[in-house]
Amino acid sequence: MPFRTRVSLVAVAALLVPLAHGAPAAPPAFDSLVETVLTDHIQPRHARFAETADALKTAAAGFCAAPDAKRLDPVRDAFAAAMNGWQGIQHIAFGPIQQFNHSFRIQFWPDSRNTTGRQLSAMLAERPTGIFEPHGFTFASVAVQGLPVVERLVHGEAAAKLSAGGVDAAYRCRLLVAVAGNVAEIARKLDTAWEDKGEAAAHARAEPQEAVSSLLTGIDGQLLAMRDRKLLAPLGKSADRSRSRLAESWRSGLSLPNLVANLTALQALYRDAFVPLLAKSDAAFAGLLNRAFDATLDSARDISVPLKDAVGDPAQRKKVEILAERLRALRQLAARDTAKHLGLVLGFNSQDGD
Amino acid sequence: MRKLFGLALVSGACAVLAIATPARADADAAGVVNAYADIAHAGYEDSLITARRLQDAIKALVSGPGVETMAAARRAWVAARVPYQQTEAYRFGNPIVDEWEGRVNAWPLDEGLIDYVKTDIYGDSSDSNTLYTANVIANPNLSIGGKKIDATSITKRLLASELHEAGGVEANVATGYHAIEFLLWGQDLHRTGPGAGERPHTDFAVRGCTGGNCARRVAYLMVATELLIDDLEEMVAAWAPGGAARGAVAGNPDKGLVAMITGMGSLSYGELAGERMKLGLMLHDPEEEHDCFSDNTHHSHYYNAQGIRNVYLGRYRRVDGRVVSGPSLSDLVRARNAPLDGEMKSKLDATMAAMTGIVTAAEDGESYDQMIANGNVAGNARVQAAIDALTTQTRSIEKLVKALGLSSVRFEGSDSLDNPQKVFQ
Repeated sequence: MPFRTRVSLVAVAALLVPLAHGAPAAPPAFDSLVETVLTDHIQPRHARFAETADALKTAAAGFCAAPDAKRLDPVRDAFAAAMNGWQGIQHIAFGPIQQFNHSFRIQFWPDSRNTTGRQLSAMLAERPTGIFEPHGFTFASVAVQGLPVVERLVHGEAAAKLSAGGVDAAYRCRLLVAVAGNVAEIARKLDTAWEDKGEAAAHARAEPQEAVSSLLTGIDGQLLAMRDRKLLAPLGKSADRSRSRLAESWRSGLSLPNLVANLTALQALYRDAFVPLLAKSDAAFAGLLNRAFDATLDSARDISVPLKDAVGDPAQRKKVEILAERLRALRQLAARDTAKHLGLVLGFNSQDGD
Repeated sequence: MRKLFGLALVSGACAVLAIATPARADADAAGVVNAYADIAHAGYEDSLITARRLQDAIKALVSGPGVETMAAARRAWVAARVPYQQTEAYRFGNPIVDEWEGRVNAWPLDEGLIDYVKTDIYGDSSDSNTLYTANVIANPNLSIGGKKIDATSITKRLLASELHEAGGVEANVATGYHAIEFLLWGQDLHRTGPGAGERPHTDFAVRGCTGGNCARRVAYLMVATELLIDDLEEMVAAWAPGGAARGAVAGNPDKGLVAMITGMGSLSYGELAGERMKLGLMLHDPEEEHDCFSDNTHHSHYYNAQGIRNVYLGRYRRVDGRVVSGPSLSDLVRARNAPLDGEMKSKLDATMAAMTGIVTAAEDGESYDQMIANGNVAGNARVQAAIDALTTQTRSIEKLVKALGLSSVRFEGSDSLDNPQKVFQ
């Protein structure tokens, strides 16, 4: 089957059918599991994304108050921190992130049709101002309002144009500050929804089994995307047929740091929430889960050059392939087998379609 | 439009009739799967019949390029889409179809591979495709991934084996309906405004040629159409008695039922609601329109939804008006869980109603690319309503799995591992 790289839309369907047979004798304590997941994982990580996104907005505004190419590094650092914050919640694919296209508005990627490139070029040429109005981003294309736009403005050859003066530079800066502000606003909304008083937290506490199902379905999709989209798409079939520009965040060199952030977040979630619960019924499986995260993270850290370069280098490619294989096995353990142990089975995963 | 409403009414009447009749004794899995294969065979045969009519119209166009022959060829393409789009409900769930499909209906495409494009709209390069503007009609010598390609003669082999998915890039679509569509219409330069592609018929005129290289363009169009017919013949045979696709489902009826439900759910949700509709709406991007050159997208989506409904009801109206029908999934579900069958039918009806809304608006002059434009609140809402209906119907399709006692619907086959622990030893 040809490897499909098209964007798949609907992050992942939340269908998990409770399974009659194979379920543990006593129902798992979904309410205490959800409590741990909320307070130790979802809430602090959303707070962190909101803070880093806000800091990016501040850094962008500071730079643009007096644009100077020598002072761009703090903006790039703030971008990396905000991207790190986002990558650390990317697996939490249910609740407020599903509303109002939030996920796509924060990061429209993969972009196999170069839509961000095309639409951003058109904007920079025509300099429309409608998006700077209140709610201007709400109905604008998702491709021109998230972190990939910030990356394109502050990295690569285009970065110098921010401080080159004239109407083009002024528009670029205005767009940069506005897009950073848009990401910060969405991040704040997500954070608020997950706070104790927020509706997402309340819903998860009221329906803990559904919340765990949705969480695992999102993790299933995330681990699939980490392997297929983030690694195999740029890897291609051979070194000379690799496609480095299909890597996530290649312009900023964050492709592998993103993957490490994804894995670190998942590892912490399983260590703090799932493994202690699973250890009660199957200590061997719980131990295997821990080892699987350690080994997968090791193989990600073992790749010693940026992913866009690794895919074209025969020696480094082997390491990328090992990471991909481990992600495949990790997905089976962390999503499907974990669901089974909890008396749930993963159903329609609509990463499918294409 | 009248025709579409007529169809919907006929199906509705049948559904009422069927509910009044007790579940038929022959509605076992084997009978249901057999009817499913019969409908597939009829659908691909209709696709082949209409593709041959398209070929006749294209021959008339290239031997006598004119406004009328061009219009006739375009009408034949639109007609050919009607049965084909309904067969797409067979794609997911039947590996034989899914592996073949890329040759016939691959989309979206970087059309600059094939012919001239206006780069101020299309762009002149792409992060992911070095052949973004390769223009094989103008360039008899190409280089793909460092390898020289002799494109002096435009042959089936060149299109199918060298250019199609060249460099492993899926957007390099050299064959199938959308390649032919691009040649018949050209780029839609109206963005999200009114109007489709306006390629002049003189692009196929050897004397008074416009667009350059008319003889090569004619050759490309003829060869691509021959390939489409070859490919459709292959799929008709696969569903004929003794064919491999029929055998794969008939040999194991439970597996056949899983294929049916997988096909319905995956087309409803990930592909149609997601890939083909929601993405374009979120991006407000006419490049994301399924039939973006011809502005025929409203029909393509409508007949996709109709195809999903056909699979559930075990009933297909052929292009000549004859009806192929047999024991259905609906019969099976009703015998086990009558309320779920009622729910499924009402969801399918709701989807058809939402799709009819899109078709009606398009026929009243607002094409699909205008509906997804930024700021078109009513158009956006109309498309969103169809996305929501498809998403809701998917939730009901998921329930069929349990109702029929099919525990192991796998929506991706290749990713499961028997022994993941081996990887971490």
